[in-house]
Amino acid sequence: MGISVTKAEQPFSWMNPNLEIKTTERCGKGVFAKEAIRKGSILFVMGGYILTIEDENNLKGVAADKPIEVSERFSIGPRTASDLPRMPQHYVNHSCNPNAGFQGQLFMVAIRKVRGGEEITYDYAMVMHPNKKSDTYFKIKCLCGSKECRGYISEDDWRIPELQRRYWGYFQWFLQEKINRIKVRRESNANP
Amino acid sequence: MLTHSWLNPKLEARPLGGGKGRNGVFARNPVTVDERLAIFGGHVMKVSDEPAYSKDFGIQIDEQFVIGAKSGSEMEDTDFFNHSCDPNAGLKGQIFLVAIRNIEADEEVTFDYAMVLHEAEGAEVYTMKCLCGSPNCRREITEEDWKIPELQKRYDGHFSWYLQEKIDGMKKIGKSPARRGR
Repeated sequence: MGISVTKAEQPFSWMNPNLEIKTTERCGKGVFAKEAIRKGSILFVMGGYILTIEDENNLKGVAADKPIEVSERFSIGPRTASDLPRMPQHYVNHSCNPNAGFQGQLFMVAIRKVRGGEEITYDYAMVMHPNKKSDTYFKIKCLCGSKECRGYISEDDWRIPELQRRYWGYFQWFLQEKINRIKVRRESNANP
Repeated sequence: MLTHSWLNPKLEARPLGGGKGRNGVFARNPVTVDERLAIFGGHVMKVSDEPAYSKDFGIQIDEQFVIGAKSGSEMEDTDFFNHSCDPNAGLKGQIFLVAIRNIEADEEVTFDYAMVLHEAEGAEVYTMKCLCGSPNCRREITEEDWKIPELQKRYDGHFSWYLQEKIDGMKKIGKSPARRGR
């Protein structure tokens, strides 16, 4: 507050003032905690453009692959690379042992206590979902180095029961709804 | 136009007429219950940083924040949903607007602002006179309306995420939940 920016430069997102953007060793930019952060703290209230699959397929350069899914057909993200600094949630990298997750569509929250200096990460399984209209199938090698590392991260990972258990309540809203319905079906099948 | 929000192509903004000088959002074609009507994007702004009428530029998503156009000149059709005390749409998560009953062609699409409003620290109190004309019209819409038990029951599952969590938490333990730390 008190920082004067022109309307044209106004950030899209709210970023917790205890966070900063730094360059990582192997993954380009990343977001880091300056000091310790409590579990449950809001890290980002994410703003941005609501994009269709066609919009996403047309993204070029560093903006490509950045949008965060909010449903099977829509994501929130930049329209060009120059939007990225104003929506820094897209600099957050993946980890198979994450410290952040989602509540609703727009809140990225700490899912455990975060130490000062620690990189903020979420598991891409919390947001990714296959899409028939998309040009590409997303699958990448994971460099997180944690002992929970799955080796590869793909669009189908949200189905992994162990991840559904571990990240319960922290998936993007549309995935959490799907997982809740699967759980209800499983339980009613077990108890007819 | 490069929009920050998404509006279901079945809907469009139209002038309200009757000398009201405002727009509303109307269905061009019939809409079925649960159909997704809009996804709200744009700038996240603190209610207390923006002019008192910032809650008209976007929708409230938290005690402190709204999302939407950063100025009146950037408003999109999704910014024109009006309030009704007898709405046909409601919220899912922070940003999905869905039909809560079937909607006919040429019907205005409305949601109840009680689904999103909450008092905001450091901001002016928001109230609005209601002229929706429905039999159960509350006449004045306030930031406390989410607490009305009858509305909590009628709109269950269709409050903005942060309000639904408060309501569900109150049901579970019989009192207001502790605020999350920031």
